[in-house]
Amino acid sequence: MKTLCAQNLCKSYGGTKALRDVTLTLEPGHIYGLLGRNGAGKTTLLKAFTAQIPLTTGTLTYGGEPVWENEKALSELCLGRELSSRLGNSENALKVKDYLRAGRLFYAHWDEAYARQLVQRFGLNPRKTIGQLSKGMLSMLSITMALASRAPLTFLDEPVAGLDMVAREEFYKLLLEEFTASGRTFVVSTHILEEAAPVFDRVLVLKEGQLIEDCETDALLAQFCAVSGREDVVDAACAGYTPLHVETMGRQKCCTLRTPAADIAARGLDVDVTPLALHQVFVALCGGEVEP
Amino acid sequence: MKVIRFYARPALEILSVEMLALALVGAVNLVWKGGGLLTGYVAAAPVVFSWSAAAVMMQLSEVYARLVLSFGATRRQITVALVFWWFATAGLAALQAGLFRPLIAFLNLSEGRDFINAIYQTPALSWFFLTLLANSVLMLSVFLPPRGWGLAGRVILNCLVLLVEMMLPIANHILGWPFQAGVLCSVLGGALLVASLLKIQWLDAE
Repeated sequence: MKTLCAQNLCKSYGGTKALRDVTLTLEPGHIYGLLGRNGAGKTTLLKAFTAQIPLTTGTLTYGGEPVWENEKALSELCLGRELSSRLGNSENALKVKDYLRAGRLFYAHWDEAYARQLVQRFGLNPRKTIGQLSKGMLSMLSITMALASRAPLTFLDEPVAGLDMVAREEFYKLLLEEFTASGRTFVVSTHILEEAAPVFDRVLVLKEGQLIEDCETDALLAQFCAVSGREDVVDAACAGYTPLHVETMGRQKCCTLRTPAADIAARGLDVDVTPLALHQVFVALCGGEVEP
Repeated sequence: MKVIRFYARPALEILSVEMLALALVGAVNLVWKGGGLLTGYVAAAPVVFSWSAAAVMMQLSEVYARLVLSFGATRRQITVALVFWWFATAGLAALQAGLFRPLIAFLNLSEGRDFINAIYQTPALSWFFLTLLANSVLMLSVFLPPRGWGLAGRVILNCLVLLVEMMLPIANHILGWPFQAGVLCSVLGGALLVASLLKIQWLDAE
């Protein structure tokens, strides 16, 4: 299994900087969660990883070889992204079966039997055109392409967009099954963190085009806690720390801190110290309200 | 090779629909021999076909280049595939012009019609060159307009293509130099093709 190394990736669209000096290494055998607010640069980063856009500056290698214009490397990298029912100025008239046939042409490890199995499992009609599919069905087709590609490094951009609750659970189950069986590396971007958090063993957080976190999920969660209780006691418990977020209600107060819960608990004050969930950490990192 | 194969399906689909349409019109014309509009349509078939070959290139160029990029194709592969289809569609257009010539003679459609005569006296090789140019202009119409220039710009460029299509019979009929006109078309078309292909290097997948 090879690693993907990105060094100082920058991408600008006109005057807008979509990626700023992103440096990271994707190690094999992980499921990465790629998090970021809308417009943070997640899709741009995934497109850059798969050479679908030219970079402004920076280098990208897979197994030590450049990814750009490298047919062999690209056949091992798959980006499953939200499909559009439009192609150019007209409806996308490509049939589901033809779309999947393209996958067979381009991906070195393509698994035809698995693709057929997934098509059946999702209830996709291979004779329908992409333009005739609902939003949920488009996501299912995109997931089918990504999973059946058997690409050692597979990127999924918003794979559950448009999927109902049952289908989303089905997707995460499939992802874990595939990960357990093959050990492939997945990078999944999503906004529905409550559901996806247990699946990610590493997390990448993008903010305004910059990579602000790249660590194990548990390690990231362990760095945050919420401290709540009587206002004066909470202030004493949090003394010396800069709260990321503060909420008061009457004499009660809740502070979110970037510090291990054990450090606050060790002060022995009468406050509740609770760990944060991934979605709460994300909100704290990317600037917004944190629920106590 | 796989990108050429990827493009083959849409290319042949579009071309076969055009050929079928022309064959149907030709068949109707056979029944209604001498019918004005239909006769004109069949007579103008090389122009129509040359234009449709260019339309195939338009379809294949940006839209499918973006699609095929999203599967991990390289820009080099796309460039090779587009050049291949650029020549292949032009070849098919020339072949079709050659095939229609006996039909037009058999149906005696050009009698008393100078322009139709001019079309059918134009050598197939010149049609090949002309289609190369038409391909390039249409490719350019999808590649080069800046985003937002949109439909109006493309319509204008499509009209320009049709105008170019008319150039060759005119050059043949009025000036009497069809081959030179064909070579000129190919040089101009080649330059436009290079401009279009260069843009692939900066293309984003969709």
